[in-house]
Amino acid sequence: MTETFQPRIVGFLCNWCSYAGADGAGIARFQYPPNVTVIRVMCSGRVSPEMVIRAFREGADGVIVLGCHIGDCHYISGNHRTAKRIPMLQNLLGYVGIDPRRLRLDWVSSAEGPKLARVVDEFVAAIRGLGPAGYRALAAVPEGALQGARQHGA
Amino acid sequence: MSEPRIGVYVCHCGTNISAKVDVADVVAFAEGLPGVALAQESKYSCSDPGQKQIADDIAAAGLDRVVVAACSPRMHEGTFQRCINSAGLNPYFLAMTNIREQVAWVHQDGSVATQKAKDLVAAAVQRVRLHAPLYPRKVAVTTAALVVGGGVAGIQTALDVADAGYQVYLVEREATIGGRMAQLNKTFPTLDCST
Amino acid sequence: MMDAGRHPRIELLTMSEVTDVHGYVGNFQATIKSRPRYVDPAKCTACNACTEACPLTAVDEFNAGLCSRKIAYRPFAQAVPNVYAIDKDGIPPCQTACPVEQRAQGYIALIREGLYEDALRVIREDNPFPSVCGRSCHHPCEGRCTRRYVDQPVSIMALKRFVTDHLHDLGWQPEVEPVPQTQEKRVAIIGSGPVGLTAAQDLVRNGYGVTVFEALPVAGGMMRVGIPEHRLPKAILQRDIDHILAQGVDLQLNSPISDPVALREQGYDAVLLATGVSKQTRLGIPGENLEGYLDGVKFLRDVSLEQPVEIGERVVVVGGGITAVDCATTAVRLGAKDVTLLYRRSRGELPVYKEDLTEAENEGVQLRDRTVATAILGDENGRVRGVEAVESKPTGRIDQTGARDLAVVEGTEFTLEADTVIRAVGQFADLSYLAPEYQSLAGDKETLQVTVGSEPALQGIFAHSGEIPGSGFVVNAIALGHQAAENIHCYLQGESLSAPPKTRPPETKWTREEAIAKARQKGIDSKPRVAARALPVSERAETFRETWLTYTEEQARTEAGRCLDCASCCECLRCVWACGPGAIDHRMTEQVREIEVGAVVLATGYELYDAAGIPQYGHGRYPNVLDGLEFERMTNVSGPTGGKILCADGGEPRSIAILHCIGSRDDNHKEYCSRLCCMYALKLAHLAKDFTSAEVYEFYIDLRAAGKGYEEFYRRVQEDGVKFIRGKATEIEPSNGRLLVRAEDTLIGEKIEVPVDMAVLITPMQPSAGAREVGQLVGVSVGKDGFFNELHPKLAPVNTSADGVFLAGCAQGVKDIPDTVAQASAAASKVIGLLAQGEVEIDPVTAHVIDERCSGCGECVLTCPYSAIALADGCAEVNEALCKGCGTCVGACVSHAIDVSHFEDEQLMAELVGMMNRPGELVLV
Ligand SMILES: Cc1cc2nc3c(=O)[nH]c(=O)nc-3n(C[C@H](O)[C@H](O)[C@H](O)COP(=O)(O)OP(=O)(O)OC[C@H]3O[C@@H](n4cnc5c(N)ncnc54)[C@H](O)[C@@H]3O)c2cc1C
Ligand SMILES: Cc1cc2nc3c(=O)[nH]c(=O)nc-3n(C[C@H](O)[C@H](O)[C@H](O)COP(=O)(O)OP(=O)(O)OC[C@H]3O[C@@H](n4cnc5c(N)ncnc54)[C@H](O)[C@@H]3O)c2cc1C
Ligand code: SF4
Ligand code: SF4
Ligand code: FES
Repeated sequence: MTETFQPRIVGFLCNWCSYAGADGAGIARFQYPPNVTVIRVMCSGRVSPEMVIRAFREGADGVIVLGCHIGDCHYISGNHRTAKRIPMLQNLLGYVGIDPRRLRLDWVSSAEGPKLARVVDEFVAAIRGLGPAGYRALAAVPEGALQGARQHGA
Repeated sequence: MSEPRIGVYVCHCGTNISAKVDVADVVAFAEGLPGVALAQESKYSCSDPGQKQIADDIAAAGLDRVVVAACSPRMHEGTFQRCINSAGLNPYFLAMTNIREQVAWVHQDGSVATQKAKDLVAAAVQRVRLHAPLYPRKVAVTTAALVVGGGVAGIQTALDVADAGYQVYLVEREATIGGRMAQLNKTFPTLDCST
Repeated sequence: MMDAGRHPRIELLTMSEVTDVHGYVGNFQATIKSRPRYVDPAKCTACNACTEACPLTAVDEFNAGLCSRKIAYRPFAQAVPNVYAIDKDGIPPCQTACPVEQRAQGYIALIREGLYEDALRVIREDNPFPSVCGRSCHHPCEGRCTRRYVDQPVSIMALKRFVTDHLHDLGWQPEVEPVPQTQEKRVAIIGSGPVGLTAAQDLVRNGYGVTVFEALPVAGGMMRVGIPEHRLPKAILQRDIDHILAQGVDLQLNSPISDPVALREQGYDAVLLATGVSKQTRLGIPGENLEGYLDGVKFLRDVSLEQPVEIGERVVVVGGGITAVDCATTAVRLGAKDVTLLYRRSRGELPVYKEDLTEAENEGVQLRDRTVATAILGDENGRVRGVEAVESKPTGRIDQTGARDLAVVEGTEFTLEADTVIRAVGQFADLSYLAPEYQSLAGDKETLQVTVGSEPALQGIFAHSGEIPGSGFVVNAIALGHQAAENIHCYLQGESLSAPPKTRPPETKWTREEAIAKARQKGIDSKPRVAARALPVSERAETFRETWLTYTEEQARTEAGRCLDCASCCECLRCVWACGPGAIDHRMTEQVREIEVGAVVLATGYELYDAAGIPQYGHGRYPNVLDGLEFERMTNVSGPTGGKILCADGGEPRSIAILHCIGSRDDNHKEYCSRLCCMYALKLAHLAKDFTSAEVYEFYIDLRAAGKGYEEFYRRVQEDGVKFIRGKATEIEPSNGRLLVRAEDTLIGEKIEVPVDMAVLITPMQPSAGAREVGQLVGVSVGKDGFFNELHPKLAPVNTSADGVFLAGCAQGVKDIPDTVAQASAAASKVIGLLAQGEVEIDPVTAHVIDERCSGCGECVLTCPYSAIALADGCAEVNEALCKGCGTCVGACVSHAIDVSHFEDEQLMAELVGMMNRPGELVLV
């Protein structure tokens, strides 16, 4: 058996839908790869561009942000911000030398354990395809470079 | 900041966790983490003996922060917050990490699960070092209730709440309350009249 | 139910919905929007009089759509509150199009029902000139009639005329009595045209003493001396005028007034100048002082007043409005042989109804359009001998008045021989009767708005000023009369004249497709407009008999039957007249109110999945295929069949099939088991056995009778002799007038076909429409089946993830009544527990600002879903009571100046560092 690359992925999951969905996957015993370690945030809208960059600089090969479906955010419109902010951040990642494919956003409700398992499966496979990231050495991102990911109400 | 004294409790949850996660190994790993004064296994940390163990350690070993690696915080965060609070700690000096729903129950391979549990415990330890005490504020309650929907459910709720002495606003979309039940003739299992 | 209606601490807000919720546990503010009921609950005695009076019906949802009910209704006898309601679906377009908001749908409905006296009564409610408007109105209502999408508009005007004529022909006289004068104040009105007489009637009805001064020996203004006899017979106009006078209006004929202020001094508290527009515009071309050159308005007035008029054999009328056509057709009747109408613009632009123009042409009037008169030619005796004219064409530009600019076509000049030339090109107010000092009252020529004179000397004097487009029509004049009366009433009561505009329900709007579908559904789609009959041309020349004839009764009812009933309630007002305690008010409006509560319970229940969405069972296509609720209603004595189970043909079914799991446990429809359907299906089988001698079959997959006493109930139904077939029915097909149910009997492993007379589809229960939106207001989400998510399926089944919001009943998931009641009490105990605490703890996980870093950009203010952040002195400030700690603001702050306790940036970064750096590489933060 050849040694497969085991990527390290940081998951930011909102407490109300996606984290609950991950619990649901557990309760139903859906199996999925162990490569994602989860940081629980109250809302996906809490995830700032810095936090994502920091995850890469701490050695993450991928970052996944999961929140409630649009319309279901526990905080009404918190995830509207996420929905704008993360795609804008993806556009900017290239400029700081990070492959935008290493960042993924998706919506997982508390009832969607199976979806959570599927999304993790897919993302782990995708990152495995991209190989190790090695952004630990990445220079600190200058203040202001990420501004674009926040403007216009994102 | 003086070096904190953190207690780490790794739960077996019967065999729910220990079937996959090598609990002893995680405890040994935790002992080596910075600021950890003590790490323990626990059969059922949410049980009375489990909670008592934590409370006793806080007093005996002078713990000022607690990490519980067990089930989902959505399930028992409140339990352990109350537990450490009863032993005199601010409830926000707790960090819980989920090695059951998001580790033991979803990963086949024990060694991989154990590694992930360690990562999560390390994360919780790092986090709890920076926790600060927080104090809830108290706000007066408006002693009235809004019930949306005037079917059997809404009517029963409204009556119970009103009988207890509180004002109820029962909001119904249609011209009359009663909901679907008002349309039924006799109801099972007793076949009595519905309205 | 009754208890809830009577409980002193329960306030019922029916016909209401929650539209907004703010705040947090223990301190919510909810906005409740209540639709108007149009019946005052405080006055309604539930006597049923309005229902009996109401001529219209709607589908009865309470009886699962199996029958109809009145528009003024009570859902069922035990309704709580025991108050009637009216189903209004906006205001029909015919009504909004009308300047006096004539309730056209109302009188049309009453004509359809043969209730003519009431029809005339509702017309008179808004319009004192039904006979006039039934003939000479420019009927903007018809232009907006929804039926125009189907074929042609309903003949709204002709129907009005029919009622007035028909009742008159029957010799029916409305009972009118003088209204007693209850107000001390008196009003003088100058002019007895529609403005004056309408205002007079309104003021008399308000209890004022009113005198109308009219210069002429006859009343009615232009209706009397303008519109000619063959369009509006004088005797018919007089019917309307008499009706007004009979209410106590004092009319003084032959009384020209020149000094309105003198009337004030004679003791009138207010004076209205309603003198109309009567002076003709001159053409401004050579020859306008020749003999035989007439002013159209004066010509018509003279004819009306039987004054001598002289016209020759060849008549040219210059102009193109109603007045011009009236002059031409009057000239024909006076014996002119050759009548020509010169109109500057094209035929299509002529502002008269096509029918009227066609009839004029049938009578021999020749229209020369695109022709401009350039001079009136005279002979040596100073008499008219002809008109010089030239053709015109549009320049393609628009002139200052918004009309198409015209140019003369060079070289097309010609001469028309004529003995008489009549001009009819627009009128302006003739205020020559006023003393010069009052000319400021006049406003300008097209002036019909009413305001009070501003100078102190003119206080209490009301006149037209300002402009109303299209005001030169009778119905606009009536609207103006109403407005004048209202203003005068306000003035005399010392109230402000600029009362806030009345809010009215919005207009009912139907698209073309909807209109066509509605016509088809009502079975009135192929009913062309009933054409009005005209007097034969041969009988018209030299008589002034009316050109257009009235509908026969049969024609009128056929025509009234074309109305699409746009707005459900037609505002015929029969309910208002029938209601003894005066509880009905069609002007009620939507009410919005804010309430403060400490807890919220969502109990929005369920609705049945629409069986028509599963076509193989034929619900909606085969009349004897019912759903569970429809069958339920049949078994109810107060239901559509009076408690009999009957097929569509009225016969009792000999066999009934009850088909379980139609649409439930089905990946194409609802995946879930609707849990209690087996039980209600068993109940229906029992009822079927009880009510009929039919053979009853249950087609089931599994029978789920898990509940206390349920298995026993199942056994009882088995003992009733119900036949159980294990296998899901796959389709229903009609066969020889019966229904063939196909299924696979899985016990014997064979396909079977069972012929029955009636089939009942047991469809799943699904969340009520709109429940999801209510949930969003309070932050409660729904699961994949659409039911509200409880906080925890075992540990917190009535709590939600939103603190202070609880669930009860089918809103949370399908359940039967015992479980619903149990859960409702559980939710109540949670509410009571919360309210009894008296205070709540506010989660300290909230945002806080690091003032030194805050640049005051306000980005967080825009971001916060709860408006919990505000800028104060250029620095953000968090209101902790409103903040829910989501942290969205943190992600938005460029300056790292805002953070959330317990989810601080540092703490999350530390977590990151901890998880990513395995022993050996572990660094401290
Ligand atoms: C055919 C049939 C037969 C049945 N027979 C039986 C039986 O014999 N025995 C039995 O135990 N159970 C029976 N049931 C089940 C029973 O009807 C339900 O258990 C019960 O009605 C549930 O009550 P509820 O208050 O949750 O919902 P509902 O009765 O649906 O009441 C909900 C109310 O909320 C209102 N509402 C909805 N949305 C809003 C909104 N947005 N704003 C304001 N108001 C809103 C609705 O108008 C309605 O009045 C039967 C069900 C069916 C379909
Ligand atoms: C020929 C013709 C045909 C028409 N056809 C139609 C039609 O088919 N449909 C339609 O909707 N509209 C029609 N109109 C328009 C319609 O008649 C007028 O818009 C309407 O009558 C205006 O009402 P009023 O009350 O403002 O004035 P008027 O009807 O002009 O009434 C004013 C009254 O005041 C009296 N008066 C004036 N000065 C004094 C004074 N100093 N003292 C006392 N009394 C005085 C006048 O004698 C007159 O009786 C027609 C108009 C004309 C001229
Ligand atoms: S106004 Fe007429 S149609 Fe409307 S509710 Fe009353 S009676 Fe019925
Ligand atoms: S955390 Fe920030 S965005 Fe969220 S509610 Fe509080 S102030 Fe508003
Ligand atoms: S709470 Fe889940 S995305 Fe906002």
